[in-house]
Amino acid sequence: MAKELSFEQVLETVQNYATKVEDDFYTLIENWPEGLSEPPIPRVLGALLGRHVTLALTVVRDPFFWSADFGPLVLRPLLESWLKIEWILKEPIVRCSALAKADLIGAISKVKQLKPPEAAGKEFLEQQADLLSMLENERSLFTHETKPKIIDSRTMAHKIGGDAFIEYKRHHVRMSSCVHSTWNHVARQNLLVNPNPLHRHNFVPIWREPDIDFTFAIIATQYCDKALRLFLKPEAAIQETAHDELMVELEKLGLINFLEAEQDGSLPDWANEADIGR
Amino acid sequence: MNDFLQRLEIVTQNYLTELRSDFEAAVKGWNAKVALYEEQSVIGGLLARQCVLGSNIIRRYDYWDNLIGPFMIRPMLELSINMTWISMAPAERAKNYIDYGLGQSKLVLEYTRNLESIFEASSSSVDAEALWLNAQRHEMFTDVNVGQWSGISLDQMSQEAGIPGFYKLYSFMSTSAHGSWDHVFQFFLNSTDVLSTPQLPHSRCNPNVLFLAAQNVEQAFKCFATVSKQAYNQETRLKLIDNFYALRRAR
Repeated sequence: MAKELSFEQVLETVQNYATKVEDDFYTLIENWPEGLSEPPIPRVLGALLGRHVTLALTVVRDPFFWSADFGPLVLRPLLESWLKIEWILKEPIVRCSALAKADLIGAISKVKQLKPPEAAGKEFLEQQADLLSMLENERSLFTHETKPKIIDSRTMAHKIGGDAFIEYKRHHVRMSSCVHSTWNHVARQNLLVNPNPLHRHNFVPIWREPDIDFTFAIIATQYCDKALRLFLKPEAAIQETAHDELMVELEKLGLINFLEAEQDGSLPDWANEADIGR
Repeated sequence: MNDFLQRLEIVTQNYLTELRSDFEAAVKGWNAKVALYEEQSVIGGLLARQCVLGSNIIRRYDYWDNLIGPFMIRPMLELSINMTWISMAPAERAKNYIDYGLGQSKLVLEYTRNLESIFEASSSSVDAEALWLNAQRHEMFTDVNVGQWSGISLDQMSQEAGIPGFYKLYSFMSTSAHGSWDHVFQFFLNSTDVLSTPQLPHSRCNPNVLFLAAQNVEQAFKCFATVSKQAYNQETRLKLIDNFYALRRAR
């Protein structure tokens, strides 16, 4: 079955998924959970969810991000975004205000410190004043008596526990290696062992185009689903989501079996000939 | 595809062709020396990484924006700072950079081992990671450094390297990468007033992404040239900028 799998079929399937997720997002915004209606919770969580869905669909829709070179650049922020949403939901009113206040205070201070470049004229000062006014205005919306709080992703993941901490341990360090271009990423992706036997300890730089790996798209759909599920009513928690439907479709296409076989090293011979865009 | 995009594609494609020939010339021009293997591998690998990042961003016009563009430009800025700082004392700093990366690999390995009971595929991942790490240094002798690889902050590195502007930009793009509220409310609400509604935004073109990508690629060539004691082709980026503006004027 997988022999007949075409790249276009995969793209069409993920596009259907993306349309469904967009619809789910706007449905959720229109039918916002009653327990989360106290300002500024809908503003903060709604916008964070908008960012979350945007990042996930960016990866899912575009094979450009289905690679070890580019996927983690968006997947790591996506993982952190899920952690942030889940962490806020444990104490929404306090945490929405605390995080937003801390970020706005930091941004205001940064903008105030901006010095105009030598050639800059009046326009620079006007733009700076406009930006400051917009940030101050936003800050004035957060009236809840909460101290600003800055918290790193590892601490968030640890405090949430469960799946969040497992996924953090599973992917965060590896993805960070790509984001920060550390040796363990660069040596694998951008260097080859020198073919000259006299220089076998030297690596040779290689500029190669990224290999496509659909696993990155699946991780994006999983993270998207994890965050959206947090907003389902308890009675709806067992309903099929866009992610569940996508998995069924990919199974029908034979792609899930292919990826599992690839992971455990039992790929059949025909796999190298299959047209799945690798 | 409209006429402007077709001509833009020619401009970017010409740039990428020249860039690839610059890359090949640079790599060929620096013969492998056993005594320099750490600095040659690090400087060469970082140049290749910057070229892969830059060339792919440059050919993807839909990501020349303030929404997704920063996710790709920010790592390029960080790479520029790291590479420039390493190129000031390559023998010692390349070694520190490798040590840190091997420590990260050990951390991945330990996390993966820790999850073996949960994920079936973990055992093959453990084997692959262990093989990669142990081929370079036995894991028993590899230290995990959870701080900065260089011992100083990226801001300090950029100042010591004489490129503080790169860090300033990096720092501004951090709000996008970390989803800070000052970034999120501007992009993911349909207005900034109190009654605004969350939205999935459309991107707006920002050609600065193109110029920044090209600038960071050039910085990598500059560092490579410094360490390998070669000249580098300064015309490649300037030609791209000239051709891009000529295209815009003709529009």
